[in-house]
Amino acid sequence: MVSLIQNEITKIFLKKKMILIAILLIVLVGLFAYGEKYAYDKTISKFESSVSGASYDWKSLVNQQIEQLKGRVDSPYIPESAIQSINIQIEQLEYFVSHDLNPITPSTARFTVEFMEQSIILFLPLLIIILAADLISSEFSNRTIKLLLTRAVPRWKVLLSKYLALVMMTTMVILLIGIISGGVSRLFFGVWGFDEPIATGFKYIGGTLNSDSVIRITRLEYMFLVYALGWFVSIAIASITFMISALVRSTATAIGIIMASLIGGQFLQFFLSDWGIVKYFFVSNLNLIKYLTGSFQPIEGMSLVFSVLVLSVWSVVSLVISFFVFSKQDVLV
Amino acid sequence: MNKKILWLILFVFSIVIAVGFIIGIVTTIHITTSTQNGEMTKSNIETSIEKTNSVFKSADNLNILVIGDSIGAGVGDETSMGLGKGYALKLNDNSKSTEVINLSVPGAKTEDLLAVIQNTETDAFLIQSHMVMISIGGNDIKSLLDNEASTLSIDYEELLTQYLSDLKVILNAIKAKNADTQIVFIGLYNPYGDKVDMEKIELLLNMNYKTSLLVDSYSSSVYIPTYDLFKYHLDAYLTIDDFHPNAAGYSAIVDRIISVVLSDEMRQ
Repeated sequence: MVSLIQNEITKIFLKKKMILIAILLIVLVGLFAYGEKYAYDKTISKFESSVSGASYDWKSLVNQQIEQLKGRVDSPYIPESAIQSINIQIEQLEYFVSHDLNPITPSTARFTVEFMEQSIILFLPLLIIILAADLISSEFSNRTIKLLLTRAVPRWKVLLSKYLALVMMTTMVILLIGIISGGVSRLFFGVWGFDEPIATGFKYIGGTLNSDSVIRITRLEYMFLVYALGWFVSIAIASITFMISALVRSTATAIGIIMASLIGGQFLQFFLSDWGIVKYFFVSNLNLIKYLTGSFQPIEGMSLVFSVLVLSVWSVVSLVISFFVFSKQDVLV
Repeated sequence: MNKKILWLILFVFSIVIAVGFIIGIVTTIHITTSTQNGEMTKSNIETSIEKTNSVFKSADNLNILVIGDSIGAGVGDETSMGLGKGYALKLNDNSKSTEVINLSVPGAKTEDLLAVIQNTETDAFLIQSHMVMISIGGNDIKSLLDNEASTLSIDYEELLTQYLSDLKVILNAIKAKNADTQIVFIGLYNPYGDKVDMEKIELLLNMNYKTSLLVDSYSSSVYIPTYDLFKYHLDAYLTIDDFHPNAAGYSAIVDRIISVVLSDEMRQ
């Protein structure tokens, strides 16, 4: 079994897909990081010219903000749920002051999280599709399926080794995204910022944002959580693409179908958000990270648990279908 | 051989990371569904409310209740008197002792004030008060003035509707609990001077106008404009944060309140 997986990994590497993905990532991350740095520099210089040459005195502004927030905490009539999140805000601002960091400075940790947040709905699935779409269908179009199936291993083992290889490579892609966006943005920003405290754990209860259970974590921990969610989404996309690749025999068709459902799904969510059934479509549940920041409820009744469950069901059903089809179908090559 | 080791590293590595990610997912689910912290903060707040739960000492005094945002709380006032105490001091009425209780929350928006009013703890203060000073609305419109939004007018309409309906509920609640109390509503001034465009100032003035219409529809209620007071005196009346009034600014507002309200009281 292990040697079968090794065989599949070797095939993926031979197709030089990881290199393609790495190049795509470096180009995109480089562009974004440069853009962010440029925008930041421009803001600062604009501000400095507006106060006629004086340097941007953010520290007194931040200190003032801290004082105001402290005043709010001390007041007995502060709305019930807000104290915890205000305390974290104060801690965050104090972090900026003690590290001599302007709060709007782009940091590596922040960029790495933002990149995942932005790419999770389309770019990340795209990378996974590059990996997964031709996994089975190319065996048919290259006629190598004969060689594969004439070996003395059952068909389900062949398919399982392909899937496990895909899961491994997906994990590597997520790691690659983290390393590349961290490394490249560090070159541009020069600030790590991994220990900055932030607040998470907001919830929507009855249509209003509830901050009762807000907790304080560092950027690094938050980054880990965000990438874990990205990984989960990638596995789900990989499983679905895997099924499509097993169903159709042309790679181009497989890519076409999965891309159409991804983009079509975004439209569906946009136009038909009142229609309850849309929330059971996998594309509507891709943006898991938004649940962490509490700014998200695309359709009434959706939560992180709900989305994770929906994606799990889609993944499992996809796998069942692909195993069923692959072991039953006639191979006429 | 070399290839085999590389492969083994890749294999073990990806399994370890995958397990790590699974732990991460479980953690995020735990974070977004847990309620432990919530209970903790709730009990904190209950005790802090009890601490200040002292009602006016006597109904015979002139009892002034100040509610609202940072202006009500007296943020920026070097003498830390704020509107209520400043008014009491200038009133200087020897026949009656004056007591001021301030329930203002810096940073409060209208919805926060609504929560304060609807809290049953506030009832006792309201019932015994002779005058309620309200300063609210500044934080509602502040974000609109600070940010450049293409949807400014739509956002503003939405905000104004919500603000007016909340304020109506607040004023109704005050009058329902104590019909005799005098409501003094402090209007908004423009702390930005000409740094903000005319379009936005118009929104502020419109909000003031709508507020005055609403406030004046209630019995023994008065709207105190402050926009004109501050217009030419921003340097003199604003504290170092260029947003809140300083002692002189508060004193100017108090003077205006006295000139509006006191003649009435003196005649009694």
